[in-house]
Amino acid sequence: MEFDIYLPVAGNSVHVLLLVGLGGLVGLLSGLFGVGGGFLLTPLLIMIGIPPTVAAASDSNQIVAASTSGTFAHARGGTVDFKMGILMLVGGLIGGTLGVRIIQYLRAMGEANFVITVTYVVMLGSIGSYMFHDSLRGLRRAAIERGLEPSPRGRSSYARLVSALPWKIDFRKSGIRRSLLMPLLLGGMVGVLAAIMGVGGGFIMVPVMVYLLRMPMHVVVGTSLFQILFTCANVTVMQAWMNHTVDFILALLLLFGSVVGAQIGARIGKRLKADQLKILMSVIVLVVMVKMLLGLVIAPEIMLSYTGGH
Amino acid sequence: MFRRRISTTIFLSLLLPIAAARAGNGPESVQVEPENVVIGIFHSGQTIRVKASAPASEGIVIRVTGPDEPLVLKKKGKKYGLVWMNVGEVHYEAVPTLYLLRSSHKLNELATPETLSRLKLGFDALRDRIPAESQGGARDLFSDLVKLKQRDRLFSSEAGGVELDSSEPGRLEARGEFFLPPKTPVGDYTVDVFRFQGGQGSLMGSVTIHLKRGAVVSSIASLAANHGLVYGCLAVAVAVLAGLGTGFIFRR
Repeated sequence: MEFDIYLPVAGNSVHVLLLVGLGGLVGLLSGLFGVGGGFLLTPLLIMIGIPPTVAAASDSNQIVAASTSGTFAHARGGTVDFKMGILMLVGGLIGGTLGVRIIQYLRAMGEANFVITVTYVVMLGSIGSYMFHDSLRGLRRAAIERGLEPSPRGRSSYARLVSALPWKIDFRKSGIRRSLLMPLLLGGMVGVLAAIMGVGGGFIMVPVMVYLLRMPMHVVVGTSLFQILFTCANVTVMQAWMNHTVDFILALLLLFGSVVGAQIGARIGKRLKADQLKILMSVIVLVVMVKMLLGLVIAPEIMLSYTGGH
Repeated sequence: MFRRRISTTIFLSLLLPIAAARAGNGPESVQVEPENVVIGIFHSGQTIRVKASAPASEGIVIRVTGPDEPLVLKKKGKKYGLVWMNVGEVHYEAVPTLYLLRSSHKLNELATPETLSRLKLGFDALRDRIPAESQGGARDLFSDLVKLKQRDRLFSSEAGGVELDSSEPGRLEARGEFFLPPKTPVGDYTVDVFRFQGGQGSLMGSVTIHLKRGAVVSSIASLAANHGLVYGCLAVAVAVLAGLGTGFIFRR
C-alpha cells in the first residue's frame, strides 16, 4: 500500500512510481534525441518537492545511467562517432571551465541571473525555431535524407569558412571530413553556454552537430549521448564531493526508469526519419522555452524561493 | 519541625505540575504519542497525537515547533521593468524549522494580539519577532515566507483543530493531531499546550518529540556528507553498470 520512499540527502519522501515514471519519460527523450534531459527533469523534480541543489545533482547521476544505456544501444547500431565525440568533449571541458569563470564574473557584477535567464530563452527560442522550420521544410519536400545535406543558404559563407580551416581529418562514422578545430571550437562554445546555463548542454550540442558540423542525425544522437555520459559523470562526482547534494536513492529510482526509457527511445528513433526526429525535438525545446518565458512575464504567486538549483 | 513540613509541602507542590505532566493524571497533563520518531527508508511522515487534560477553560492551543535557524531566501522582483526573476536575497535570523498550530477557537477569540505575541502563538507573533529594519525587507516579505513553508507543510495554523470534551464537570479534555511531513528535518521538536481563560493564556506543559534517522538512512546520509568523493564515484559506477546491464538485456 505504501509506495513512498524516503530520500536521505533530499530529506523528503516521494512516491516510487512517480520517480520511476519521470525517469522513464526523460530516458525516452534521451534515447530518442540524444539529450540528457536535465533541462526538463530538474524543474519537474523541484516541483515534486526535491530541493533544487539536490534535484540538479541527482539528475546528473541518473543521466549517467541513461546515457550509458543509450550510448550502448547506439554503439551496437554503429551510430556513435567516438572520434568526433572525444574531440568535442575536450573542447567542452575547456569551454565549461571558461563558462564557470564568466559566471563568476557576472555574479560579481550582479547580472548573472539576468544573463542566464536571457541566454536560456534566446538559445531555446532560436534553436527550437530554426530546427522546427528546417525540419518542416525537409518533411514537405519529402526527401528522406535531405536534412543531412547542407542547406543551400548555409553553403555560402559558412561553407567557405569550413573548407578554409586547416588540419582536416576524416570522421568515417559521420561520413564527413572536417578541420580538427571545428569540433574543438564548437564543443568549447557549447561548454561555455552549458556552464552559463547550468545544464549538460545536449539540447545545444545536438543542433550544433546537425547544422554546424553537418553530421547525420542518427550519428548525432549516439555521439551526443557518449559525450553527455562523461560530462554528467564529472558533474556527479564533483557535486557529491564538493556540495554533498547527490541523493543516490533518488538517482537510483530515476535511473530504473531512464535506462529502460533510453532503450525504447533509441529503438523508436531508428524507425523515425531524421526530419521527424528534429521536428519532435524542436517542439519540446519550444515548449520549454514558452514555459520559461511565461514564468518570466507572469508575476509569481510567492515572492520568495529557496536558494540553489539551475 | 513545622518549618520543615512547610518547606516540604512547597517543594512537593512545585514538583506536582511536572509529575502530572508526565503521568497524565493530575490537574493539568499533556500526553504525546509517539514521542520518538525514527525515519526509515519507507518513512512518509508521521502523525502525532496530543492529548491534554485541564481544569475547565475557554480554549486550548497546541503548538509544535522546531528549533530556530537562520534562513536565506531568494527575493523575486522585476528586472528592467520587463521580467520577473531573482533580484536579491532576504536574510532571516531565526525561523522555526517547523511551526504547526492547532487551536480550539480562532486565536483572536481567545486573547489579545499582545498576549498571543508574548506567547509566540500565530504567524503574526512570528512576524513581530523580526526587526522592522531587517535586511532585504524580511519583515515585509514574511507572509511569502509563510506561504513557502505552508507549501512544504512545515508551517500551518488551524482554528478548530483541537477537539474539546467537557463532559466531566470542571474538567476539559483536549485532543489534537499533527502531521510531521517527511520534509521535517531531524532534531527535537517541542509540543506546547496552552490553556486560555478570561483572555489570559498560560503554558500547561511541554513534551519533546525526538525525530532521528534510522540505520539505513543514517548510513547513506553519513556517507554522502563525510565521504563525498567515494560516494560520488560509487554513484557513477552504479549508474554506468545499470546502463550497461540494461543495454545487455535489450541488446536484441
